[in-house]
Amino acid sequence: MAAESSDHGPLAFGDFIDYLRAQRFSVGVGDYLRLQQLLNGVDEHVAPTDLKTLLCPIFATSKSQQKQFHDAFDAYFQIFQPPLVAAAEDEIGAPRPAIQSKKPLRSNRALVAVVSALIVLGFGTALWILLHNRPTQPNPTVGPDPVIPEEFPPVPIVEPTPPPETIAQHNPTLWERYGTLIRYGAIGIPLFFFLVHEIYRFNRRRLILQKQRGKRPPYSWPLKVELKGAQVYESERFHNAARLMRRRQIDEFNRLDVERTIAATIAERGYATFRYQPYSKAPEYLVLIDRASFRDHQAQLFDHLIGSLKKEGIFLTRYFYDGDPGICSGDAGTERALLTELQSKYAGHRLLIFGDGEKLLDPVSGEIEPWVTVFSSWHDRAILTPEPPGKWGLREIALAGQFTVVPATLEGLLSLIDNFDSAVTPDLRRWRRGGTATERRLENLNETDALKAYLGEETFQLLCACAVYPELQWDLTLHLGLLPCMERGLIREQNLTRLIRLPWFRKGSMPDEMRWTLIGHLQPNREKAIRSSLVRLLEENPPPQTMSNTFATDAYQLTLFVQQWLYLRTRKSFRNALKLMKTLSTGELYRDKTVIRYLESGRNSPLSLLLPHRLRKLFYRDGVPAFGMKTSARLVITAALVVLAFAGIRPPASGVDSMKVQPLTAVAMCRPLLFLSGKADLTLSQTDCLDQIAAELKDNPSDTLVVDGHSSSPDLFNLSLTRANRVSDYLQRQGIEGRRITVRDFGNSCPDPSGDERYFQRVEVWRIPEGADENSIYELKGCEEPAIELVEIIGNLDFQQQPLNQPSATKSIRLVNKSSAPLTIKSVTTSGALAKDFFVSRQACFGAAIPPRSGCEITVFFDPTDTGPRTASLDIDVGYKVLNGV
Amino acid sequence: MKQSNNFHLYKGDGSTISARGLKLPAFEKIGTLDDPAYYIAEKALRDAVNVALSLGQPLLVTGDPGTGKTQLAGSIAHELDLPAPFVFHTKTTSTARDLFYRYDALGHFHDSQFQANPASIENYIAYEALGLAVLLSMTPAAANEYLPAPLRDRGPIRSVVLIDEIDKAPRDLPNDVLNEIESMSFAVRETGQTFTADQSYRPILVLTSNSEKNLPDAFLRRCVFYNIDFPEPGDLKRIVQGRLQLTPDFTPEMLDHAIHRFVEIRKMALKKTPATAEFLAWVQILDRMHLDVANLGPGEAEILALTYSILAKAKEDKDLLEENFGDQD
Repeated sequence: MAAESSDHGPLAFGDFIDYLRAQRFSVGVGDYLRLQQLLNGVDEHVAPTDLKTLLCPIFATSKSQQKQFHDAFDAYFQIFQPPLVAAAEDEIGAPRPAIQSKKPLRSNRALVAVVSALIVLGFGTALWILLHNRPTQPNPTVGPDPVIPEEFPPVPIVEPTPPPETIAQHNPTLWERYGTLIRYGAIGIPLFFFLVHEIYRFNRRRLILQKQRGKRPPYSWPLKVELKGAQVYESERFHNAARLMRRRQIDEFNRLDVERTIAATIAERGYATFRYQPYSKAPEYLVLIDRASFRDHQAQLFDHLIGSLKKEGIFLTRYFYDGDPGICSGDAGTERALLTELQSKYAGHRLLIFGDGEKLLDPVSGEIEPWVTVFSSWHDRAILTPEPPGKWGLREIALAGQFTVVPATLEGLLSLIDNFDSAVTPDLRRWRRGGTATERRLENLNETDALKAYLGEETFQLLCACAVYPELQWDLTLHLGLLPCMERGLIREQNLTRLIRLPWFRKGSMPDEMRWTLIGHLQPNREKAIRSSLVRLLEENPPPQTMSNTFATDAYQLTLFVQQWLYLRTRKSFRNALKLMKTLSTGELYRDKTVIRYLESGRNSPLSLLLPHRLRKLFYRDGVPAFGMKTSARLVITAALVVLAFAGIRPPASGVDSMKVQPLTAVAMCRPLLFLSGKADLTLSQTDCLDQIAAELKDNPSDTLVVDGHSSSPDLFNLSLTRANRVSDYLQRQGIEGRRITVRDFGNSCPDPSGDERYFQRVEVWRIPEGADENSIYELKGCEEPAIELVEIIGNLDFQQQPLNQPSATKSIRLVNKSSAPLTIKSVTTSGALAKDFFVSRQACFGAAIPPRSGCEITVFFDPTDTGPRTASLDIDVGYKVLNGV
Repeated sequence: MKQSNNFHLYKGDGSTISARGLKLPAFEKIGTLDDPAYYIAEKALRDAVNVALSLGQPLLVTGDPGTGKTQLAGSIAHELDLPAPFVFHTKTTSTARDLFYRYDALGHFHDSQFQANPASIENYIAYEALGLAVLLSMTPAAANEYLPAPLRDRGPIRSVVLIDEIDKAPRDLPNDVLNEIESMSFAVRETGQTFTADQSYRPILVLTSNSEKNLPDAFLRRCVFYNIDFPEPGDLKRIVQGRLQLTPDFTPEMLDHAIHRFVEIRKMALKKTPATAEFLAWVQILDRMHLDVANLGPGEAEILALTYSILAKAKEDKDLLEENFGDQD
């Protein structure tokens, strides 16, 4: 491998090393030599993948770099990741571009598509099965077999009957039982999913909007500026400071100074005289920089200073903090370090805090917070405040109790190092005196004149230049300052310090109003140059190819287009930009109000139909269409599914009917109870059956019973009613309330369809479940209750006028038993609100059985207690059926 | 579950060991714990060592404490059939000269005051790790008079030099020794002699550092760098099996459980994450107590909680561990 590589051409791994360099590895000539030496030493059997661990120790110099190298190697030599091809070096030399495409997004989408397809498929299949199975479902299901007599045994005397098995032999299928539920489910599920999805989307959109809203300007393409020769710190003063900072620091250890000891000893004529010399060490600095945001120019400037000092070989460790130095973060913002950790890690360092130290003070009393004593473990500590000395006040005085306070300038740094070395207490007043009046007066940032006076004409132009791009970026600011159209030597510490003291540079963005004004102050030729430079920068930094069809690309395209148009400002580019705005700006992509104003100031084509402002606000809330294409499509699909479910899934009608009607039909209990001719006695087996009925009825307290008595012929003794009464009596003795039992007398009006006489002498017991129609018995039975009038009432009880509190003469009515059985009148009472005015005087009917066709009299008198028409009703309780009389 | 009698030696109730009818047993050193023969290096580390050997450059090893940085030197010496490495423990006051030799000026001075025939200055110069290694690379004829007795007539051989915790040294030290390390030569200012290593017997230099922060770039560029990560569970098992002679009662399953638990513990946000060394000590204790981390007998949970004091080096960490793993049935 090695031999080939030397013949091979330029340099082994040349491309890869270039790639490493792009990954911010520092690769020097020595590294090439070491690599070559290593390759010469490595035998030819080394698998390409082994090179990763072989090369890494040469290039990596820290733990993070080691990991970075491994990642870079993997990314670069992806071809080796599949089965180890014993590739020759030629292949290594011709590697692939290594940026991994963002596949996960796609696969995710595919996954969603597959899952939804599966769901739709499953749903469709279920629907199909349901629709096609429906007709095959067993259909009829009316309760028990109604024709009881057919099963009747031909024996006259009642046999011990098998247990009743008349109810619910039909087991409803799943479909019958849950058909309705499934139907509503099928209708509801798509709706539910649609709603949930919409809510989810809405929520997400809102979150994104919330996120976006915080950003002002909302989104612009991050410009990558390669700075060439941007040396803010190239002055003599800077080198002076660096030299001072490098100056060795006296350590706390002493050691024997041999030469001086010997010299002293000789001087003392051989008497041992020891001379010691303190160790000295190179000073190391721990720097904490207040950084409000990633675009914080202040922090960037200080960081730049630290970087420049580092290049001068000064040992600096830099951390950022946001307001409160209790928590610091390193470079990438990933590693966080507590101040207490730094305290133990960098104990011997000199501490430099860049920031105004606001958080170190109690907000109310203005005194130093107690926790600030943490800092006292650093012997040399200072605050370099960006606050102009002219505005220094109580805060700085309070801070000076604990720290050396100097302005965050080179001058401040210089005097600071002096202080460290000489341990002289610095004088705050010296700085304050140096503060200029303009610094003190800069209160209103909206006054451009004041700004101009504060910054100076040329720096003010730089400020205006910065306003052109919607974002303030440190590199961009430097880049703009270095443009040939700008004043030379603009990028100086002094100017930048003034500039970054403006709060906009702290935040990294400028209000659009202000930008608008400032751009107006920019010299016209400069604006053109700046815009062309911006366009060039944008063109030089396109998004990676692999990122096409992403938000980033859209944003890039738009930014570029807008900048191009702003640069050229021709009618054509305007129209193009306008078109682009219409397609893209519906999202949150671009809310650069300055640009929008440019665009709106142009004339619209009368042909382009635009929504009125208010409507647009209504429909495009937060710039997002309230009801977009996708949602509509989803809604249509949902509606289709619902309609399909509504029309397609119909539970079998009979099934539903049976469910509803079945429990609501009268049910014949036991078999009919047969009696011997002329007898009304219950046999043992009959009472067993009745016991069961009683038990069943107790379990269903809302059900009632109908007891029908039958006989073979109209006989004087009214056997049929007597039989039915016997059964009813028996049931009542078993604990069934009388009101739940209706006794009916059919006489011989309802012969058994078989025509067998023995079956005529029977009693049928029907159970009426709650809500069932009593008349359903007739259908099952095949005949109706005979219209037998039980009693006939002859006469009336109209008492005409009657003086107050005087009993009237009695009046009578006559009850005639019209049935074929004796009738027992249980009671005769008056009822109603005025029942107390009417009295039943004689109850000839009461207690005795009235034989058929005969009658009895009931006598009533009237004793009104008040004037006016008075009525009451007379209740005549005829055994089991209560009749309401007049 | 039985517990070895030897373990609960100290009762803490005032009773003496003889009153309990016992005798203080001799300390049982776990013999293989420091034996380089049982050192297991991962592949990337092997590669890094080989690269350093091939380039003749110092190998700088970083990594969390307890990942076996220091033992690497012993392992290299062992595998290359070289004498045990010369170790230089860096102090915060170490200077570049200390790496090669020390001059006992005070002793020399004392002797010169009180002895009639003071010994020559060479006798007051003691060669340190790197100096010895350079001397050993020279022919015995040239080096014998400077070498201490046990090392005489051994050369010329290569040797391994371990400069431990170089990050503790003052910032100047690494830069000061750059040239000496590159050319493997040093001068003794007191005598004016210069010693240069025979390049074919170039000493093998291993530097360890607990953090990479303090080393200057120029120095880093001249080193072969490797960061030892915490081993994978599989490697961990091999390391334990190689290093510790576990009792037969301590089954491989119990070891797996311990490794599993340890990996979980390492994932927790501890102030000081335990490393391999702590793990070995812990497994040793688990072995002695016959504790199975996953299946604890009655009352063993408390004992297990006590063993966490090996892994947790801060009170907060210990509390955290006991909270998370202490009272699992």
